[in-house]
Amino acid sequence: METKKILQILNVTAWILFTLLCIQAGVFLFNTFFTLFINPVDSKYFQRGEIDFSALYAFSTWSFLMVALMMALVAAIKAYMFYLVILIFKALNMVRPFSSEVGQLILKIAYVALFICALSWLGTQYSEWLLKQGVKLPLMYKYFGGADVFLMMGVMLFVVAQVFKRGIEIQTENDLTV
Amino acid sequence: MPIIVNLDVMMAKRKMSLNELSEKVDLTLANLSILKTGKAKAIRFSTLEAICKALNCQPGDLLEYNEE
Repeated sequence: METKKILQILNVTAWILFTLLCIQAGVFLFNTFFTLFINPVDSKYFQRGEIDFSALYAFSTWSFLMVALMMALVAAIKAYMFYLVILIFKALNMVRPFSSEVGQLILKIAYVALFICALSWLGTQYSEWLLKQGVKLPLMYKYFGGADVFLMMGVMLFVVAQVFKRGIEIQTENDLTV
Repeated sequence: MPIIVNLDVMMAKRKMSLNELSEKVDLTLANLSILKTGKAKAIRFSTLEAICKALNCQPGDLLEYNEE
């Protein structure tokens, strides 16, 4: 398949994932505030009934708030990561692919991936602690899982960013070769 | 960079304008300007050959090493 076509497909995929993650973050935030300030029964139907947080809400409102906000934050930061990917597609010029703008964006994504890793790890640890306290929690892996994957992604992107930096130097050198 | 390009000196000696040289060596004005102002990182042998031919000079007349 042509490189241009592959990039177009990836761009569309990034847009879809960005939109879905924005919606997910919004749903988490809305449900959290709805549960806290309007109707506590909503804790049972968090995320369209997929997550039952009624036991957690009964255990502690603060713990509920902490878990729900962490879930929203993870989704929001993942959405931001895909937004950066979209920006890369916007800045990418296949005639001169090595630009400092793209390099900066790759480095930013690496930092964001590491931040998601830290947040997911914290979320997992906190969920495990809550389980040890005897709180009945739904499966949280779907929302806090993959910390190791994001760590690997962050480290790999750091390496890619360094290689990209060298690419920019070589391109500049090539441009200044008469 | 300790390598100095004396293209402007040679052009003045031969009374040749940048436009004229650009046509003779088949290089864009932008590239010749990069070379003339010393911004170039490298020069191809083919470019050097063409400039030497157009200005009727040696590579040593165009390039000079000066330790900073």
